[in-house]
Amino acid sequence: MNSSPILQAKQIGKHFGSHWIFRNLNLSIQRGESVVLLGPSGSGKSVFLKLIAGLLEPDEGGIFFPTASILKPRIGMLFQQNALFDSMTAEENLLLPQKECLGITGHVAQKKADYFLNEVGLGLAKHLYPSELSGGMQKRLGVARALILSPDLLLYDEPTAGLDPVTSKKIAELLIRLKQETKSTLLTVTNEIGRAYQIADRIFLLAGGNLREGGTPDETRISPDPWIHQFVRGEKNGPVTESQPKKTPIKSPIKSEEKMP
Amino acid sequence: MRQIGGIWGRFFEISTRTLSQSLRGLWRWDGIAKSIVQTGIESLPIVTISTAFTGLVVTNEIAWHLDLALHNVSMIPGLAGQFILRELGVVIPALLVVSNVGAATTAELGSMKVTEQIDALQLLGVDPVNFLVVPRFIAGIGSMLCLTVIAIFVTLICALAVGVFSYHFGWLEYLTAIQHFISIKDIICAMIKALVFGAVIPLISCTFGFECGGGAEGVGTATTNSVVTATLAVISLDFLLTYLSTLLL
Repeated sequence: MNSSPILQAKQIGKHFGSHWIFRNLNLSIQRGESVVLLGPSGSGKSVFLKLIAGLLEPDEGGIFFPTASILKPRIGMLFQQNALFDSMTAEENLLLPQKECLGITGHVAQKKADYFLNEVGLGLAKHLYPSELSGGMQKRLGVARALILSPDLLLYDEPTAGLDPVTSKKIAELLIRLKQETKSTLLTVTNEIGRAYQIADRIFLLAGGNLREGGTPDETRISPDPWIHQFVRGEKNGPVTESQPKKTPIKSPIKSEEKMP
Repeated sequence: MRQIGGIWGRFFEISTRTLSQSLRGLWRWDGIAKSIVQTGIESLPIVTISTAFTGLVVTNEIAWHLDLALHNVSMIPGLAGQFILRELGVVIPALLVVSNVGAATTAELGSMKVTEQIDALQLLGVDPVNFLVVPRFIAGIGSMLCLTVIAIFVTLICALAVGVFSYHFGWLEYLTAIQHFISIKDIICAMIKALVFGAVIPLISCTFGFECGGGAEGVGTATTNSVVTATLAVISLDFLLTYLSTLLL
């Protein structure tokens, strides 16, 4: 793992209306690292990923990419609902980003699409539409599309949500294998502790509007932090279940908003 | 902008970007071809059938009232021709495109919004306005102009049929009478209206699609609001353009 940070989120805050999702979040991710963000539903994990991806703008603080040569490293993302283009086949889902982002078409684009489809085990399903694929296959296609532009930073939003345990484990193994092959940096959001231990170099918990570091999977297992302790053990009583979203009055009107499509 | 103008602020923003990109020639021919099929070719049967029947009904009504009030039907070709060319042949296709294509566009884009496909496009470096709106905008203008010409032709033929078979006009007599009432100004007015409707309908449909939220129910609500707004826009713009044309042409 390279020690230079690829991403630094400083004092990040985001609100919708008068409701602050979180404030003062700080996170630094090293190049080649795999970071997992745990947290209860509604804690803002997906919002945090979208802030990093540039799909939302923070209301406080900033996100920096210190080692990026121009402005921002190339980011690939697997969305929570996969966000596959349902009017296109599996293959076309991989051809479009190459054409639009890299200007690559024809045989070269075809070859790269075939390579990644084979990597995720969808070589024989390339002419199928997303609606004709199973949940696990859709996730794998989403992973292939996230990887197709050879991104420096990969964001996975609930990569194993809604899948059976066997498929979930296979997807996690696929993510690890592809990370090793592509030497990319991962930031994964999940609620599944087992998958988090499997994927992560470092684990964080986003709960109660704050980000808490659990450390490595082994350190997280024995973390004395009551929030992390409760969450990883799935205990009913504790600060996580008691916590409510912070409602802080906002002095000025909303100063930033969701980016225009 | 969103705070100030709500959906109309967003409409203005999308319209400005669409117009700017269209004028700069940032056209996606594959998307335009697909949209022409959807807007123009697939709307053709419903537009032809609807305008044909409307032409028959309206000409019969005009003739019946003229006969009842003035006991003279010699004005049928002129009145029916003017009404068809300036209003019926333009507004009926536009309203049919709103209900047929506009609703489908909002539902499609709304679905893409709630399933994060539009976010995915942005992340992959694709401008959603250029990818989704510009082709529909250009295809909308082209298709609406063609549909209007076809609708006017079909409706005039039906009016002619009513005149000939029900009120015993000669074919040539009817056509000559029409020539006296219809001028190039009426044709220009019809084409300007078609151009404006063809531009506005996809812009409204796409704006409501982009602004959609709240899952399946949100898509339904956005589609309804889009159809209502586009219908009102067509009717109010028709009035405005008719008024302006009487002043300027």
